[in-house]
Amino acid sequence: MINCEKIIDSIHVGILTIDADLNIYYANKWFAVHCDIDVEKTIGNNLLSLFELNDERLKSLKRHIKTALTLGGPSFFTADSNHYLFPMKNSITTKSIFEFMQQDVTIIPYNIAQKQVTVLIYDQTSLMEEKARCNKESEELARAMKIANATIKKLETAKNKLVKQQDMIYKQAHYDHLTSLANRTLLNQRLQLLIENSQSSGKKFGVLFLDLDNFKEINDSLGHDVGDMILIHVSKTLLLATRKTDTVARFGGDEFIILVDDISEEKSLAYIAEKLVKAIQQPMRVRNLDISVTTSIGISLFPNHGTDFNQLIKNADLALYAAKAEGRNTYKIHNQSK
Amino acid sequence: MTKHYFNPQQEDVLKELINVSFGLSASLIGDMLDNHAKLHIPEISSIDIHNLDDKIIEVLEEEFEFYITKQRFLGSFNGEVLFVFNNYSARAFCNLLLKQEVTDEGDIKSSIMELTNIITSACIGKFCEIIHGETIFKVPSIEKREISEMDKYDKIEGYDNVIVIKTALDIEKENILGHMFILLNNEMLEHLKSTIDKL
Repeated sequence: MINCEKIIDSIHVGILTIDADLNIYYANKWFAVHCDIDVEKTIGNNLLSLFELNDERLKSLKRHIKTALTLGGPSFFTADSNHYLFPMKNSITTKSIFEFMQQDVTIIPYNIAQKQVTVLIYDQTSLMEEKARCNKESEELARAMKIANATIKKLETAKNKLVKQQDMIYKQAHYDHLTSLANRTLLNQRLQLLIENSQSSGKKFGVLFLDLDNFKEINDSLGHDVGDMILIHVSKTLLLATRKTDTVARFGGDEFIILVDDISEEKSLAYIAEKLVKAIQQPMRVRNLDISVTTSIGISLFPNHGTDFNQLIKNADLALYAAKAEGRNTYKIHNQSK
Repeated sequence: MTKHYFNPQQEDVLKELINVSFGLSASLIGDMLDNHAKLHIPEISSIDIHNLDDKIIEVLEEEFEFYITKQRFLGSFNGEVLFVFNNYSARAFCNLLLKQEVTDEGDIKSSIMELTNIITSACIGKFCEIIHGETIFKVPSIEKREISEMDKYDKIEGYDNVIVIKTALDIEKENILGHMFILLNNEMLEHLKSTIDKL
């Protein structure tokens, strides 16, 4: 013969039989131990003599008993949403976040005619502690992620700002602030690069040295601001009249240098120079004034007229001098009469 | 998306059975709230289990957050019941139960659990009764979920069919709308249908 009571007293579930008025008919050993009571003396007593249930809990318990008795099926409280039904001492020996034991409680009908139910109490404190810990960790993780994302965003903004500043510094260092053409530094770099490439490829390139004719007089008569506007206009004209691969630089004052890449013969440079002379002499309108300027151009060719920066510039300058001497508004190739 | 597991006669009987359970539930819910509660005649439809998430999204009608309770029942009649309430209905029911404006998530979850426990127990109990089956209920659980996160939640496995029951509860001027999803495998569905045919 199986001794069911012995089994019931050895399981880790609280078992209690009560009626709708909360009178106790049975309690197992688990319940007695956790409530620190003598079972024999408790039978016949009311459940409220063991626990102080607040109004909400008491109402809820009575409703659940009624549901179980009416439907003939179980009614549940869960630790997840209710935490506990009976304020029983927390059995956890380590520091717990819960004052009372967290419980899943199932109420099942025992004797419907006598309005008796059996109450099963499952200790879920460890589970709830673990859950609370997980939730806390998830929240901390979410918070850390939020901070990390905000930091990443700040870093990205700072990086973009830095890139913009770098761009600005590069422009300031390599471009002329008035005309936005390449300045001497960039011209030097481009010319060095062309020399290196041409030395290995054997290709030729040309250096066109331009100087506006009588620009000092225009500046003196019309003012520097008009002079500046003319320089801007000339720069735009030079950019429009050359290829994107050519380098147009402001060398200083009213002097410009154009590097023309991949040239097979001097004739091509002469053609480009003639085109530039014609383009520059087109009248322009500045401050309601119709102004005409002309330019003289000196040309040197790599490697025929020099193999380094200084030599190429110097020989182009000499050709420019010759063009000026010939009456301006024309071009000259180094060591060659037109 | 909708499937017709039941012929019109079977559906009528099923509706009648659920209506009886609803009557019993309404009386208990009324007691719970010290108020008259009326559960509307249930609207029943059936879907394939693969369409469960889409159906949940459909019945929630644009509501972003919702509560879902889950409860398995085991034995000769076995399956799982899900209950879905939108945020508004869940809060409205909790306010009626506790007779105050409630903000505590625990209170809302506990109220919904009590409500679904009554309806689930009444319905499944009735099905068990006609089938002459034995069933035990596992402890239910409740979660608050978001529609946008639907893909991230674990999928329920082991079932083929879903009976969807719209449960509209009128209390005072409030209309509490929930949807019950009864998940059954093919064997249980056939068992239920053949029993209904014999009634």
